[in-house]
Amino acid sequence: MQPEGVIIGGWNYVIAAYAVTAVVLAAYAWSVRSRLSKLQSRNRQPVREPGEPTNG
Amino acid sequence: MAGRPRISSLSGLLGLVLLLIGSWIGLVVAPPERHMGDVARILYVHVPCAWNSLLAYTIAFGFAIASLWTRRARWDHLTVGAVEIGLVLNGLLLVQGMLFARPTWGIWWTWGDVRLVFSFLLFLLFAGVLALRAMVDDPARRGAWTAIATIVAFVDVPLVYFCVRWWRTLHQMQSTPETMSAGIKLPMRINAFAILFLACWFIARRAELERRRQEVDEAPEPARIPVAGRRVET
Repeated sequence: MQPEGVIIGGWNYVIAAYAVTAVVLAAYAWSVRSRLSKLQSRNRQPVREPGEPTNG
Repeated sequence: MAGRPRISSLSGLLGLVLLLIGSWIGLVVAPPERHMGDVARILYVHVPCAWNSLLAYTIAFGFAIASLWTRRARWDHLTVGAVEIGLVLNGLLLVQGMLFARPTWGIWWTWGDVRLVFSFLLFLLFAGVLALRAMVDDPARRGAWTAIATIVAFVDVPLVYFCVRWWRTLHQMQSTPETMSAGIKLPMRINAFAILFLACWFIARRAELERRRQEVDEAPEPARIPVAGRRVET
């Protein structure tokens, strides 16, 4: 006999809430890191002046 | 300067570890709430996301004022960082709130609740800040528009916080430490600090991203380098 006015179960909602939180935070972290590393690699490319000799 | 990325990385790592500990306590150790049962465990992530979302928007408001006052790009970059993580947490709290509302209130959403409507409006307002920013090419104007839009959008933050006291609808009023048992307070506090540390890491990294993006935008066009055996049109 369950007491009245008490919510029973609901673990699926709990798991969904924690899963959404983990996925969204991980996806945002991955998004920031990937955008940053893309820009960093672009910044590392040497910019050569016109007339400067190229290797090979 | 080299110490800053290390501090922000430590903040991110600390946030991650605390979030794992807080979630484990919230899911496994904490007892079910007297009336809401296990569903109350959603509050251990929902409430910290709500607190930190409002805090991130408040910090963004401060950065926006500093950006307008000093016209320094650094404040503009930090404003974007704070707005973006505030938006992510705002989106999360809306979804978590719906997942909590369904088993406890019997509905996913209602337009008759002021807290829900103001929270959704807050999401739209700050999404609008980032959309407006994306439409402006000139860095100086972009910074000014972002700051002004952030200040305007911030008007909704106190409304979200105080609306449950001013208008009594479905959403409950804020709890206080005196009205919560120790078993509930611990995971909520750990997760609140976890998300705060993570938010600091996100703001620092996002501001760094914006700084580098501006450097790329302001850099001179790379010279066209002739490739052997190919004629370069000028």
